[in-house]
This record gives sequence, structure tokens and C-alpha cells, in this order.
Amino acid sequence: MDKLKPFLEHYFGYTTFKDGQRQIIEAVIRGEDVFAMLATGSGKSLCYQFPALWKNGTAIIVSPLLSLMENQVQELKQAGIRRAAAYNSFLSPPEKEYILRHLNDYKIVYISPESLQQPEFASRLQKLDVSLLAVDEAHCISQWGHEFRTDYLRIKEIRRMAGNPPCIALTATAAAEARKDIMEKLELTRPFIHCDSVDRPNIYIDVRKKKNEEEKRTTLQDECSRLPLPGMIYVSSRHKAEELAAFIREENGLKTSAYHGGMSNEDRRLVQQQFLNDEIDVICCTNAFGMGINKPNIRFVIHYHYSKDMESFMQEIGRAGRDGRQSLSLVLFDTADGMLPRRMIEHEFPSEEEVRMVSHDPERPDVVSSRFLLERYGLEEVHARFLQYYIQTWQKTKGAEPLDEFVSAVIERRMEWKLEKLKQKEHWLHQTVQCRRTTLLEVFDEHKTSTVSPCCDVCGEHTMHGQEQHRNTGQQALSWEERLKWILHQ
Amino acid sequence: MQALPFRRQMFLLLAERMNQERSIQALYHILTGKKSSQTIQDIKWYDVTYFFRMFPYWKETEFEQETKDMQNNRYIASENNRIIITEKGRSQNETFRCDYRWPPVFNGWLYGKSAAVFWKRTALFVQCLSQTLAGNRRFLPVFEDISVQQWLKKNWPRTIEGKKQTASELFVELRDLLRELDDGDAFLVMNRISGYHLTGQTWTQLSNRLEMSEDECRFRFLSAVHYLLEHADRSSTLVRAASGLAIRDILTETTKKTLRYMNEGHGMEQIARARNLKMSTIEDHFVEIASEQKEFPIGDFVTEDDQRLILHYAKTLQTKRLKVLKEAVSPAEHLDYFCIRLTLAFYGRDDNGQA
Repeated sequence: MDKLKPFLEHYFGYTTFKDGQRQIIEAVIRGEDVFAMLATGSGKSLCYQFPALWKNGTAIIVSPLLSLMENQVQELKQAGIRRAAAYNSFLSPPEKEYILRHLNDYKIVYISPESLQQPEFASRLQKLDVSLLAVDEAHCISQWGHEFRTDYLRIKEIRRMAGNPPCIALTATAAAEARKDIMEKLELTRPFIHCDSVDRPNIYIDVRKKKNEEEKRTTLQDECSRLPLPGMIYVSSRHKAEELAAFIREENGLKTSAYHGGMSNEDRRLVQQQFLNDEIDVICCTNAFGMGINKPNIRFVIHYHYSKDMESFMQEIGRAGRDGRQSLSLVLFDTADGMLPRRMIEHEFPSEEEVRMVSHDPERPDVVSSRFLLERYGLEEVHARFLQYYIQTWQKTKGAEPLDEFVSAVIERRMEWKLEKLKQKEHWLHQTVQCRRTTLLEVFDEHKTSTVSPCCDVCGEHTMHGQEQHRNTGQQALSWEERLKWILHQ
Repeated sequence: MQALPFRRQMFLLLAERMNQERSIQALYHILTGKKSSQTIQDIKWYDVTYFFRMFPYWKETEFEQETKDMQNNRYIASENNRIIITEKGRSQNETFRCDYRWPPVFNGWLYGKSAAVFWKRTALFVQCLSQTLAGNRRFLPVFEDISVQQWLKKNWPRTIEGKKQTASELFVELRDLLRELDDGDAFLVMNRISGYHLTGQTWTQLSNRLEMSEDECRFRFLSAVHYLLEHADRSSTLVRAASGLAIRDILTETTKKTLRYMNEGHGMEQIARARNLKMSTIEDHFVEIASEQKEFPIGDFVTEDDQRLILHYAKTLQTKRLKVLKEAVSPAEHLDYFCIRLTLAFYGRDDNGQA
């Protein structure tokens, strides 16, 4: 008899599994390692939540998205699963201490990769019965993934400390070389592998080259007046996000808002909630927006600045049309746009100057923490963590070459590779002969299997301009008393 | 005359109160709400508690740039590290005061920190009530602080009738309280609240809607929250949101320790030795205590005659500047800076004569 289904219904309220979920869950329950590439919104989290509740012991979920883990814990609690916790830097010391002392009592503990490294957590882990170790956003472990976080590399050490529990690695987008790398880095043994196709046939892919910024703006404004709503516009700077939000609001009379890392937490939450509630027509955002957001009815994603590689691009356009209805991705670019991603890539690494300063500091202790680097040299957090990791790696080589040369060589290699990925992306943008979908899928070692129509700007036109726009009429014009009345249901 | 950006205007008003007495930097500490003995004495001596913590988010580098601009534009000047307001600055203030409706209450000194918690509790309570009564259980809570959520759990009405009743009571209470404010201020409060199908607005959005700078929006909003907090006893929900909040942390932590020693009968030198602190630090603590506690035994430190002498000069010379006062009372050689500070602190703003 099938025991999984009643369990699913009881704890999660679903009556059936989605594609692939069942096989993955069964493999995890059998104690196998698993690698799963699943589109966002296809029930990724169930793949570890289900086995976590099913098995004895405590499941450790590594996730870099703090807000996402808070949400998931809340959802679990709402569903009556109270023995869940999120362990991260938001917690106060007593709160952390409480969780650590009661670790055994939890079924699921979410943790950020940074917190996972903390000695107090690692030491408790050794005494814990770990039912499974799940690594979300697993592409972060690979140097060949579109985001690379050195903290992730230490997960395998933690796994050994916890007595090699079964491990499940999850990601939404990873190209072939990154997938292989993830499995190696996590030391997955003969893993069960499941890969969804990255293709999203209901998203029409459009790329348009413009002469200059002025033309881009005109096209943007025109598209926002004709495409069905709601939609997203990706840009690469906070300033541009604000500027375009104001532009579309004034020119098109739409409800818009910017979203970027420079806003306060509270404001970011508000904008996110407004967007989810359909109170905003168009959101102008940097790539700070989107992670962990599941809004089904986004009709278009416009890249006003293009992203630095195909994987990021895929992930960003994948936010459109989760409801399965016809949607559109549009990239607008001019020849000057190449500057931005190049500057961003450069900025991902500490500067030559900084590397030299750290290397030649006679007072640098043998063991450096990223906090030390942060405070002593005024490095940015990502740079500090990057350096800290490579100083450690360098120490393992017994310092055969000077530290700065070692680190500079690493940076050069990484940068070169990133530029390669960028060029691949640019090549894809500039060519106008081959089907966009076909060439996009090739990056992920996939082939276009069925005929998709409408497909892309090379294959033919789309019909979305004829559709109704569904502008937000909203309740924005309410007086404060009316608003109070509505909110308190009077 | 051209209107100044809101935060600069507020700075200029404060500058007028502190004219020739304090450094520009001292004003920064007041506006951002630094909790140090010096700043706390400043706001009491100059009776400017209502500027305290007005812009806690003002970055120091921005402040430096903006006040430099104001010097270049001759609203203020600085001499011997003391701020001076110019004629242009004064008339700018005059114009501003003529048509600005100051909110009924803004007191960052009394309410600064507690207002933030009070607001989080209130907003979360209203949001959850609104969503639950609409039958919606899936929503993003506006605040996720564990302490605020624990407060909510303790105060959450259990039954559906309880929820409905709370909602209708709260509606009347909030409506009546908010009606006592300017419409714009009530609008700000209600539009920062999220509920079922209505999400709160960001400062940028509100600033666009009201055509008012973000700084001013935040100030008006905060003053409205202070008003609600001050009148929390008129609402059963609000009074619970205000419960347990220290309306004012009267003394800094370190001063509290010194006070304990003092109450045990230890002298200043003993305390300095026991706490391993400098005498000047202990003096700061005593001044802080003197400013807060009416029962402070000031007579043990300054004779009544001397107190009268110091207050006399403070009044006639219209200053709180120590150096000036020290010179004025210099025939009485035993009167040092500490005596003067202690006396000024003890009598506080009651007779500072420059309201």
C-alpha cells in the first residue's frame, strides 16, 4: 500500500505529487544521495521537507536566502509542523543558544552557509542524529555556477563531521559543467539524478538591438503600454531602477515601484507584498529581487540591462508565466551596455591594491577571519570572505608562491571565465539567424524537442500586443478613514 | 525665500537654539539620538528634547556635506568650533515657522526607541487581524522580529467573536484618535499599515503621493505614532501594545552602576577606584544623575549660596557655556567646572530663561 500519499495529504495538503517529486523523495528516503535540477515553483522544497518529516532525526537545510527560510519555517508552522527553525545571523544570541540547545527536538533546521561554519554549531552537529543534509541553490558551490560562494565549499567538511548523512543537492539552473562540479564538490556517491528541462515553452523570447539609450526608453515605454500586465524590468543599478520606475509611472500612468538592495528591509517587504497582491503593474528591480518569490501571473520580463551570463538570464526570465499562460521575455540593448556587466564582474573580486595590502601586511595573523579583513582593511563583505577562503587555501599549499601572486592568479582565472560566459551571452544576443530557444537550450545541453509557437523573434511574431492590459485600478484613492474601515472590516 | 530641504530646515531651527553654544557635531548627535551623557545634558539644558532622534538614519558623511553646504550658503557659520546662526538663517527660520504646523507631539527623547516597538506591535496586530478576519492565512507578516511576534501571541484574541469585537473597538478607537490629527498625518499612519488586499506604502511612494519629502513624511508619521503612544490608554489594544515599554531609559547603563555605588554611600573617588574609571567619567555620571533625580543631594557638592551664584550668572549672561560661567564666578575659586555643570544639570530647564 502507498504510505506516501496519506502522509503528503496530512502534512502538506496535496493529494498528488508533481512530476519527479515522488522519485526524488523515494530516493532520499532510501538513503541515497540526490542531485535535482528543478524549475522554481515546481515544488523544490517538498523534496527535502517530506523526507525530513518522514525520517528519524534532524534534517539540516542549507539555504542562502534568509527571507526564504523564514517564510518556509512559518509555512511549516502554519501547517502544524512546529518543530522547525531557521538558524541565521538575524537571531539574537539567546535565540541562537535556545535553538542550539534544543537541536535534537527539531525535525528541520534551516541554516545559512555562513552560520554553518560557526564552531558552536559545528560542534553540536557531531552529537546530532542528522537525517539528511539538503543543499538548496547548490550551484553556489561551483566555480562554474553563475554564483559562487566560498562558504559553500565547506559544506562537505560539515557533512563528514555529521557522519556522512545522505545529501540532496537542489538547484534551478546549472549548466552541464556546473552540475558535474556540484556532485563532485559535495562528494555525492552514485547519486540519483533528476533534471527538468530548463525550457519554458510559454515564454516568447525577444531580443532587440537599439541605437542608444533614448531608443531603448522609447521602446520600453511603448511595450509597457501594449503588453499585458503585470511585468518586471531588470536593470543593473539602483539609480536606474528608481529612474525607470518614475519614468513609466509618469509616461504610462501605471503603478510602478523600484526594488533594490538600497531600500530598507521594511520597504522591500512592502514592495514585494504589493507586487504579489497585484497592487503594482510594473516593478523595476535589480537582481536583488526575485529570489524565492513565486508569483504566478507575471506576463513579461524585460531586461533593460542584460545579465552577465545565460544561467542568470534563464533564472530571471523564468519568473514569467509560472501559471503556464503565454508570457514574454524581451532584452533591449545597445552597444554601450557591455560596460555594465564588465564592471560588475570586476567588482565581484577584491582589487589588486587590496590583495597587495593584505598580502604585505606584516601584522596579519596566521589565521584570519573575514571579520578581521573587513575591519582592518575596510574590505567589502563578499571580498573579505573570498580572500579569507583563498588565504586558507594558500596556506595549505605551504606558501610555495607569494600570497598576492597566488590570489591574483585565482582572480584572473575566475575573471577570464566569467568574461567567457558574458561573451557567450553577448554572442547569443547579437546573432539574429538561429532560433533563440535552440541556442539558449544548447547552453544547458538540451535540444528543442517540440515546435514551439510563438517561439522567438527569429522564428516569428507573438500575439500578446492584442491582449487586454489589465491595468491596476486598485484602491489607492481611498481616504484614510475608508482605508481603516476596509482593513478592519467595518 | 527658498524652502530648504526638510532635514536642513530642522537642523537650522535647532541651530538657533544652540547658537554660539555648541559645535555642529553636537547637533548631529541630538538629531540622530545619540545616547551619551553629553548629548542628554544638551537636550535638557537647551530644552530641545523634541529634536532628539528626529533623523536617526542621517548618515554622518551626508550630514557633514549638507552642513558644509549650509555654511557655504551662509545660513550658519562656525567659530571656535561653535555653531553660529546668521541673519539669513534666522529669517529663514522665521518664514518657516510662520506657516508650518508643528505636530501636536514629537518627542524622540521620551518615545524614540519605544515608539518603534509600539508601532511594530500595532501594525502587525492590525495586519493579522485584517487577514484573519478575511479568512486569509497566507500572507507575509510586515515584521518578523521574534519579540514582536511573541507579544502578538500573548495578546491575540482566541475566539472569532473576540477578533470581531477587537476589530470593531479598534476601528472606533483609531478613528477617533486619528481624527484629532491633521488629515495628512492620519493618512500617513493608515498608509503605512498593511491589511487584507491593501499593502502599506513605501516612503518613496508616500512622498510621491503627498508631494512631501521623505524626511518630512517620516517625521510626520513618527510624530503621529508618538501621539498614539501618548494616548494609548484610550484604546485597549494600543495600551497593550505600549505595555512593558520603558517610555524613557532614564540613565545610561554605566551611570546606573555608578548610582548604585552612590546609594551605598561611596564617595566619587572610591567609585572611580572600584569601577576602574577616570574621575572625569564619574563626574559625568553624577551630572547625569543630578539632571534626572530631584532628590539628588546637590547640597553635598555645592553650597546653596554657590548654587544661587551660578544660576544668577547663567540667567544674566544667557548662556550655559561653562567657560564663560567659570570666568564670571571666578572670584569664588573653589567653584570648578564640575560644580557649575552639576548645578546647571540639577536645575535643568526649569529656569534656563530662554524658552
